[in-house]
Amino acid sequence: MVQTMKILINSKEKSVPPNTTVAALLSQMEINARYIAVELNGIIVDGQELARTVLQPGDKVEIVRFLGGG
Amino acid sequence: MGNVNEVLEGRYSRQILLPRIGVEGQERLGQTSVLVLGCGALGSVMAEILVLAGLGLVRIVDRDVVEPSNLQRQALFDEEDARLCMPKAEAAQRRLRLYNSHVRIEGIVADMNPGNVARFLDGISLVLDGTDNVETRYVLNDACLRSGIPWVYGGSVGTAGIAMTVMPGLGPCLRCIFPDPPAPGSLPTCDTVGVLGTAPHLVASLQATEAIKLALGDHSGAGRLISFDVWTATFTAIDVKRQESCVACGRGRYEFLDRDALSWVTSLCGRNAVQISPPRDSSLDLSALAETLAEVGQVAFNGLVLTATLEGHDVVIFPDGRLLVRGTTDKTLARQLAARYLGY
Ligand SMILES: [Zn+2]
Repeated sequence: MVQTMKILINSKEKSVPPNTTVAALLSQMEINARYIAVELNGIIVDGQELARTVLQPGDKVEIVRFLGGG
Repeated sequence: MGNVNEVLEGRYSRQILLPRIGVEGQERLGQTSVLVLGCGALGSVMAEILVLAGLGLVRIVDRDVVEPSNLQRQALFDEEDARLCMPKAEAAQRRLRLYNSHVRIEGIVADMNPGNVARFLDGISLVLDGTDNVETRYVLNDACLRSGIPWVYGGSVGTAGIAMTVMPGLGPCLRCIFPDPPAPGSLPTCDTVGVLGTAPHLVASLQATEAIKLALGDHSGAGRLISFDVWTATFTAIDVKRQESCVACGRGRYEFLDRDALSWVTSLCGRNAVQISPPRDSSLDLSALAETLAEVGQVAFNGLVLTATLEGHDVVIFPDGRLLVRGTTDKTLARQLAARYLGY
């Protein structure tokens, strides 16, 4: 049986497998981690920690892109 | 002088009515000097709002001339400005002086870089980011941290927008969120994916609001990162914390100011244009140059900038010595043209 857990990404609910890291989540969403900031439950996740940070059920993830236009 | 004050209190009566502003707040606005860096979609809206609101000094620095593709979203400029290739800083200054004669308005046609940023910050209480590229924002972040001047980041592409106040010593800086600038060409730009006018207008409104709050001593916006999409009508606000490990505000290393300003070649982010800046602050006699260049190419001089076709390439030459080559991303070609016709 495939288990999933629910998290919130930019206020939208999403199901991911248990033990998913933030880095894995980003690559699954085809997002290049270099050009974005990830906030997990209110705290910015350091770039080097993305692969070590394991998501928990109910986590709130905000993904913010750098916008260069003006 | 009572008369003048009565006129001004009438003029600003609707915002004076706001309990957060009042007569005292209006006076503080009148004593505040802001730098609007870049006068595109963000900068033109911010400059207009702050001039109308009665700030003391609005200094506008921009390197570009008005182009027809600006007119879709930059309401400060008109078709005549585009036809005459008017420098944006100059066009904005002329227009805004008609809007409010009580505000000091300085339009400066120049490209901000590590070598000249201190000059533009002189006497300024806060900076509004209206720049159109990544690199300049990192230079600005460093310069403002070093001088202890608050600045308001803003960016917009497509239908998305983002804004955040950076308050040195109090909240996070740009590098706390985005430690390193995205590589050139790695981000979508207004020139590659387009932009809807409402997105930058909203960003600029938020930034201008932050400027007014900062002028009144309200720092509550520091570190509040607002991002949105006007099309899907989704809005997020995140309170970002300062990162002790941040190279800039944490460790006090201002890497972007230490860069060699000598060969400042910028390929303008998706603009299909390359800009060469002179090795040091300089000023060109454009009318004399126009005569010289007329021998070798087609030249037009509108009194402010010189446009020419040299070796089949469209170039714009500014009085501060910058050369803009349009229709290419070839930096070597741009360098060659600068070397051949301007001698650097
Ligand atoms: Zn920082």
